[in-house]
Amino acid sequence: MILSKNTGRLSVFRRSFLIAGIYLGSLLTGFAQDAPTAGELLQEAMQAMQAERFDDAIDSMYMYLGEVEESKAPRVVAISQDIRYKLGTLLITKDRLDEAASVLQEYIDRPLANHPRQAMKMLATCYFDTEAYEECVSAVTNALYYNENPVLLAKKSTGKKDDDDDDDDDEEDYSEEEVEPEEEYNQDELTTLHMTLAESYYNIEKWAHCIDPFGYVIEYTLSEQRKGYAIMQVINALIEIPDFSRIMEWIPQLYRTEARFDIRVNLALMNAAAALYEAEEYDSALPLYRMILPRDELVEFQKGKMRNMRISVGLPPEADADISEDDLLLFGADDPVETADALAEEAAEERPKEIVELEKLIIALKDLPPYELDIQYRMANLYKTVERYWEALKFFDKVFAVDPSGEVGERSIYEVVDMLLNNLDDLPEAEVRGFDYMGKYKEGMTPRQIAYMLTGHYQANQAMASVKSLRPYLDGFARTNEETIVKYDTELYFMQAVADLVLQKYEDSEKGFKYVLDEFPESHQEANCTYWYGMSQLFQQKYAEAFPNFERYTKKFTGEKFVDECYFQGGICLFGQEKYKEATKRFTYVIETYPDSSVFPEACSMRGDINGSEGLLDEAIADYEMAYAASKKVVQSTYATFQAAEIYEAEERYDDIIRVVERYESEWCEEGGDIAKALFWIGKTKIQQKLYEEAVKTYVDAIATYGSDLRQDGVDLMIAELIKISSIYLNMELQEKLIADLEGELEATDSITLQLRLRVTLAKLTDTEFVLGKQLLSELENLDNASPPVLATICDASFELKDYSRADEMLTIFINKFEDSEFMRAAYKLRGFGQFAEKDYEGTLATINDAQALYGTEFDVAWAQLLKARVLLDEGNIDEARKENLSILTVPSWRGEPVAQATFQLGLVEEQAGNLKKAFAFYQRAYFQYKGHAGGHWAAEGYLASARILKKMDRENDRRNTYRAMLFDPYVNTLPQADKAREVLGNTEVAEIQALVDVGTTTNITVTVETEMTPASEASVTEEGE
Amino acid sequence: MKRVILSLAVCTALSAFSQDAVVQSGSPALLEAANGKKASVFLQFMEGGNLTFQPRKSTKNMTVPGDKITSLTFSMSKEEFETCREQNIITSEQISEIFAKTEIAKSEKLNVIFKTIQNNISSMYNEGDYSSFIAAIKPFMNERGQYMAIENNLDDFYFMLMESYLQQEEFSQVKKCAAVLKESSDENKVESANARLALVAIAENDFATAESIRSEMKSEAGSLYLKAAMERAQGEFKKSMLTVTTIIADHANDREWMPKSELLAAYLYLDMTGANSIISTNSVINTSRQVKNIYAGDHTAGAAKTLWMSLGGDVIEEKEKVEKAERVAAEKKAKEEQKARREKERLAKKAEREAEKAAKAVAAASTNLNTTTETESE
Repeated sequence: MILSKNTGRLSVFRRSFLIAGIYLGSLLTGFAQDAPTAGELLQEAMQAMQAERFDDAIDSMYMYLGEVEESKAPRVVAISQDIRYKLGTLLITKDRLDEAASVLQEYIDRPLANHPRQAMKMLATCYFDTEAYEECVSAVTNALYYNENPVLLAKKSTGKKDDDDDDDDDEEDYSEEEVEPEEEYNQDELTTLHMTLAESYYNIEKWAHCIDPFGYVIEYTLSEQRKGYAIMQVINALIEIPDFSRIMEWIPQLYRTEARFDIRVNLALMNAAAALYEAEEYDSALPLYRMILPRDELVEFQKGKMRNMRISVGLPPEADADISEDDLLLFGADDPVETADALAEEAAEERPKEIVELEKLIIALKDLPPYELDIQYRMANLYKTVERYWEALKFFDKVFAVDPSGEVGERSIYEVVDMLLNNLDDLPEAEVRGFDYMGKYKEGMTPRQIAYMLTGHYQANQAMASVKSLRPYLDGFARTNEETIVKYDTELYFMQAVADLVLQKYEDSEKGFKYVLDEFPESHQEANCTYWYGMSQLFQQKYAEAFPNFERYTKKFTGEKFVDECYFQGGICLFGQEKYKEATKRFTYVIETYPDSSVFPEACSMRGDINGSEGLLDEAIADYEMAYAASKKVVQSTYATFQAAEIYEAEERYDDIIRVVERYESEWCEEGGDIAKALFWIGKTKIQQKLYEEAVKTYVDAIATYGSDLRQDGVDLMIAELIKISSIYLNMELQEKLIADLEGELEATDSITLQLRLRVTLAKLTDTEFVLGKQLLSELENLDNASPPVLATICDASFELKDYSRADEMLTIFINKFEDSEFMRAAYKLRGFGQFAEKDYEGTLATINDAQALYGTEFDVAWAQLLKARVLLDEGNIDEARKENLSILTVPSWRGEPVAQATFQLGLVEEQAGNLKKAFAFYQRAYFQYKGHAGGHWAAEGYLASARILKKMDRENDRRNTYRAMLFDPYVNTLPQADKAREVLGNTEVAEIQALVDVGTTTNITVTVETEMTPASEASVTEEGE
Repeated sequence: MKRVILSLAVCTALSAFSQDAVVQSGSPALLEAANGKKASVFLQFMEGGNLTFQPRKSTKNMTVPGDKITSLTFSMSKEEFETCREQNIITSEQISEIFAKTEIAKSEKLNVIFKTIQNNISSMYNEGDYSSFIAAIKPFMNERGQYMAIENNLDDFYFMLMESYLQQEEFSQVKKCAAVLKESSDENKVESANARLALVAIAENDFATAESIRSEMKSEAGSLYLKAAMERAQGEFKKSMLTVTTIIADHANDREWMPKSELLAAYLYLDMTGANSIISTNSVINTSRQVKNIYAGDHTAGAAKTLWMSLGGDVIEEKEKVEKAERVAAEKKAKEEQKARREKERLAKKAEREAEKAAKAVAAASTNLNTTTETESE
């Protein structure tokens, strides 16, 4: 380090000084007799100083220095140096810093300076305060160097007078004076000098240079505030360099200080934190953000500080406030009024620099736009970025609470819902927050974005019913023509319709897609909406209505993705309308036009179905072959294979069955093909070929191999087939072998699914299904491993036991896991009767509707229609009950027991309607015509009900005759209902009748009641009678 | 030679003790009374809030109420110095370094050594090495521990000792320390002691006691922390986390409770991870890393570092650093290549321009030539 000079800035002042000297010299020459001598000037200066006439003192000092400028006499040099030092001090006091700097530099540069360290320090202060930072750096560097390496001065006392300075004869000999060596800088001064140096480097953007001096301040300062400020500046410098890796070592130190209460630090914190955030230095940014104080809190703190500062220098605590008596007391005034005025005056004129600066800073702080929310929002974002989601949630919440409708508030609530959904897995809370927001804030983008986010979440989690819960909020949103918002609305309503579609609420989805098409014409979802609108109609078998939508799609959206689908679905519509030729044409068009389409195999299969139904078996086979060859999904190859097998079976081409099924087995086995079904077909073919033992072996092996997989529904088909084979084709010995084989498999397996399947098979073979069902009902706590036949067995047993406790559970399992299973009807039945037992008529009817939609008028689903009629009757809906019962009589597949029950139920309907004669007629028909069905159950009920009617009609004799007839009737007289007849007739008569029956006597007792049947019922009865 | 110098330094240090050695029972200390007077005394015992001591060179017991004493300053005994040296709590190098410093007065050097030992011991605590810390500080507290209700130059260490016992789950020791501190007239000391007793109660599933202490806490952040700790102990992680986030949001600059709260947050994230949880170990790693970095120098940072490293945070960080360096290098390389390409293009264009210029010059020259020729012909 070397001493350096600043010649640039100083030269101006030096020149001025010289000019002033020359001017003074010429004046002295011109007016020699009037001009004061150097000694006089010196004396004047001292007197002016003592009188605190500082300006006069300064002038005199300048003049004195000009007068002795040329003198080389050590004594004069020493005096003039002393004057320079004093002048520099005075100039600083008068805030004439540029001049002070010039004088002090002169002082330092010349010999015989007694206070070089102090002068250098003052010089540095002058430069710093005049923002001459380059010069300040030199001044401080020189000062610090000099402090360690003081220059040896020339001897102060020369021992002889300078002959040239006669004028100074009378003056005090300063050079003779013993001068105490100047003390080195104390710690406080050193710290201040380093601070000045660091700040100067910082201000001239020498970032790397400023770090060491700031480091010195941090180490040695006793002021926490100053330490914090210095650390802050180091951090800022490191950001500017940039050198982020070193920042983290300073942050904890800064965090431990109270620096945040410094306005400059607080402002710097914001910038530094933002810079670190941008640089992804989150660990460094976070504590800085935390340290930023809210503006009002900081202003209040600083006002308090300013108040103390003002009081400490004798100013009123507040700038504009009246001075209170307490304050005056504090200031120690004798005359309150006079002193107050004086103080106010003084305060207006002379406020310490620190107070002025603080005032400026407070004003600057107040002028800042509010920053607290932005800080909290950034912190929230920061926490989110580092996956501290709970903290992020808290901060986003805080921002939203303060400004819910502002920009950051809106962004915050979006983030809150987003994190609850995607990062914290707290759907209930997300819903609470999201719904609450959407309910209160109905305008703009954010509520829609939240609705969209929730929709997406529900969709991803297949919670389509939840999607529908958003609908009321969507309807509440304020509509606008703003393009993006319209797009959101379109999408949201589209998703609503999609949810209906997935929920299989096709009527609703049809309405939903139409709503989007009507409300948002020409939208980005128009093509999709059109397609799904048509599909919704198609699912409802509204073929004629769906067809134009598919057609519209193929014409308007030729480039869209569903064109091939629409052509195909159009074909399905034509097929549904039984327009087979047009349908064949359409499928042919699809086959020829879209050979690579995903619907190509389906189109082939559909055409194959039509051809097959028209007896064009070779063409059908060809189509199925094409379908099979083009299959991309297992469902396509499965359909084509087994449809072909059906045709081959019709033609008794068993080898072809084996061929296609084995091909399917080998090619689709690993793709999830229904191998069990394939084996089922192989077994079935062997039966047709009368190879029963082989068929049994195929089935038993297949059951053992695939029976552990719950999804292999072919196994369940084989179980049914196996039972059929056993009862029809196997002799006792083979039946026993089959049972033994199955028991062996049961022993060998650990699979619960297979065990259950085998137990059901064995129960069916040994006719112990009810026992097993009852056992499983209590044994199986969960039904996860139960396949459809197992579930059906439990359902049947439950039905017999009237135990409906697990009806809902089992039906749900069927719907969720085995939707296509034939065994599901047992679950529907159990559930329907369970609901009926609970008098849940609405639920009962819904279950019946579902069952009927699936199974129509199949024989074993007659219960649904009969139950429906019972529900309607219980609800007092006589006409509907009558209608539903009568409809049973017209269904060929329900002849027999269902008709018997329907006839009896018609009696109940009429009885409840008060038509006793009609009721009697139906009851009588029940025991006349249907005594052979249901073990005579309905006939017996008919007898009893007839007797009941006759009693109501007050025809006691006929009533007793009815009971007598009942006891003579061999179909019913052993049933429990006959006890009623015995009870009414009494023991004697019953014994007589019994004796007659025992000897084979029959009776012709007939009770006749005239009645008027309705044409419909008459016709039905007639038809039945035939 | 170096060894000789070190031995000399140690001998010098020991001789400094021998000069001052006074054979008197009790713990030597400088006592400052409430009236500002100071006296060298030998502390005898503390009982019922009263301090009994003997003045230097006197065997007469004097008893004064503890709250009449402003502070005690303990110095290190020769035995303690030797123990520290033997256990390497202070190294011979450190001792010789201190003795080599001429700016430190000889009388002051023992104090500097004592300070150095204190710094070394507190480093163990700040690094979360509680067992080493306990082993190192315990000898200093065997006799002096009973006086810790009075302000003194070792009371921070006593507090650290209590905290270390807590971390080591030595609850009976925590209770002993807390019992001493609860005698203090300093409300902060009492509250700190109570807070630790509450944490012990939580660890022992005595939630009624913990709640009773919590409800008396003056520090809102401290009260919330105890609430969160209770909730965590009862398996209510989400509830606990919500309480912790309240501390983080509302008491961000509370230097006593914030580090603990953030560390608790890290543990809560760990509690929340699992096969069926959406919370991943990333949250734990990031939170513990931030605690480690932000509170460097605090003992929670040490515990956070342990947690962070147990989850492979250091490996991940190193990997990220390497990746970042590679990315930066790749970017630099790409820039250089781009620069080279541009330079090449520039040179090519320049060459092209020069060629054009030359061609033009040739053309011009030939034109002139033609002209000349024409002129000449003319």
